[in-house]
Amino acid sequence: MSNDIPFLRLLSAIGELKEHAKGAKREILEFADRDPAKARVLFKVADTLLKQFAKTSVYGKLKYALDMWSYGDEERYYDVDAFGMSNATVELMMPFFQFLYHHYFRVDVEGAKNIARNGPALVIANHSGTLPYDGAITNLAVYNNHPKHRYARYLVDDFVYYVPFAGTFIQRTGGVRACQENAVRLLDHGHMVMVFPEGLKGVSKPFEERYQLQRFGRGGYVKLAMRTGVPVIPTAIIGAEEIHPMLWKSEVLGKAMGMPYFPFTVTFPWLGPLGLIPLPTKWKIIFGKPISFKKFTARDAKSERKVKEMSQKIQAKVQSMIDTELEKRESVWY
Amino acid sequence: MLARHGEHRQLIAIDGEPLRSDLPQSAYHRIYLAKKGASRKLASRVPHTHASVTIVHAALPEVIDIDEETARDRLIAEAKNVLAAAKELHVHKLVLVSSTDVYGAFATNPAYLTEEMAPRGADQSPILDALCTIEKLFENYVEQHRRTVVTALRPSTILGSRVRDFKTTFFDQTVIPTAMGFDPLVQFIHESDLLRALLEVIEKDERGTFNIVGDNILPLSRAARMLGRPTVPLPTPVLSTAAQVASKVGLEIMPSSYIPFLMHTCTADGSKARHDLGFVPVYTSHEALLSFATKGWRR
Repeated sequence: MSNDIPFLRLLSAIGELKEHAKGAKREILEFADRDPAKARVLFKVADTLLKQFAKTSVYGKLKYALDMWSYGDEERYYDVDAFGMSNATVELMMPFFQFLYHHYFRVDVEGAKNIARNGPALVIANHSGTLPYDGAITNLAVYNNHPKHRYARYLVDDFVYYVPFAGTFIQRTGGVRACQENAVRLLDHGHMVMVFPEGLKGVSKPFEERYQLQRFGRGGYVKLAMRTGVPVIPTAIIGAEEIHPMLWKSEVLGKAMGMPYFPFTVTFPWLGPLGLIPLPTKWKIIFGKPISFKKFTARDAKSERKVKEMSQKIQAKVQSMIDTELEKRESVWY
Repeated sequence: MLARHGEHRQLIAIDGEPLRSDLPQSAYHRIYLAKKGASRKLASRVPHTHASVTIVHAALPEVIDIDEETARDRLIAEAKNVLAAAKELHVHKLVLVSSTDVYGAFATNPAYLTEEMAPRGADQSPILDALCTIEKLFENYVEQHRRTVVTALRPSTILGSRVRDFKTTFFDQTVIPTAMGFDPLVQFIHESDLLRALLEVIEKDERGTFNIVGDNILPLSRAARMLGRPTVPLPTPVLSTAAQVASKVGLEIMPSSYIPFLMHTCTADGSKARHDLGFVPVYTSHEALLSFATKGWRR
């Protein structure tokens, strides 16, 4: 993005580099007499900074690559992308979620060929589970079944960002606050975006209502697809709705603790923190045939009728995918 | 830089504090802008031989008074005097340097705030309330004086080797306080980039509001890491008390009303300036931060 005027940029960077190098040298020499220990530290800092500035020239790029090869890739490791995702956090969490994916939930995937090879796409799925494991696992299903390991981004509800640690963690692992502006920008950047239109109502579904889709929001994702002309991949997640069978939820208790609700599941809070361990159900994720939105325009997004129609159509599609799969399923556990 | 660029122009600097830059003394006038009658004083300093006068009002102060309410009143009084002087001089152009902070730091902010979104910062801080009010005052001025070109720039946090304000003071601390469990994304603009944007605005007659931001964003924790400063995560309720206590003791850490900026992201989209002004920042946020980090090395 910033390479529109590489020449000017290069000049300014080289100018800075020389100035810094000179200043730093003088400073360190002054120090070396008085305080050798501090001088050593300064040398190290100067080196890091010079490395940063050296990135802009061809020689600098080579040297930088070499340095990174020998020192480890700190910049890539600690920096975030345009939406706050950190590769370091994703890589850190990957083994844990891969374990859940392969050994704990033993996920089967159907319709892997429907995962968009490239270009923007919207994955619309059912939401459940009290704790939203389905988001992470479906994301991994996309990642594992895509030839180039595509990493989808997912939209999350606002409330997460008020909760200390949770908001930051979700952002670093690829979550983006759900709003039209963010979603349009993500799709413009060519990302694959996962949306759970049921939202909080889906996650906090009581056990007896499992696999019955809640209202699909106000059709925000349909408007999004209409505006951008991006295909929608209807997706059904089987198994996630039984990991934390919820008996009852208290909104009053939840509010007092800064959460939208406080769940009482079969295991939580009776077993304490152990109750947060999900039940090892067998999962199956089905990616349906993409629904094209090419024929719609931004004007259609303004028509309540058309939006509602498409939203209901997609909801019915996901529900029927769930129902056929549930009929085939023999057990929750294997 | 401004002086060097426009050789056919005359540049006049006005500030309440003694001059700290390399401008010739003759171009500098010391006026307390918040005082009554400052507008007449300001107008009298501008030679009438100049056909077109441009006033650049850099609204964000270097230091914030401990009492933020007083700071707000002072900022608004200053802006009113500047506008009164502008009216007297029939200026051709008015440029306001505000801040992207006017959008406010909210959990409900989109990843990139655009100029179309209404600034919501007024509820968060008296200083931001002042900035929002000043922006409104400038907008109202256009309605009364249609021929005047009024432009507002909203730069993100300005960093560089020369700039000094309460935000650079924050990043200059030996230990940087953060909000426990929160790590907002931050965005910087290099001082020379902001000057370049100002030049664009002075050269071109482009009305409206523009976000002036550097490319790339980085987490606050990463910024502290690049500066080589340790961070102290404090629980959010303690943080505001700590800021208040510190300001009472005389430690200028940060205005306590700015604490939301340690929790929630307030990053803006600079594509409007790119398209309409043709302004492309040379420094990314990272580079602006590094330039700031090495400022002490340049004597």
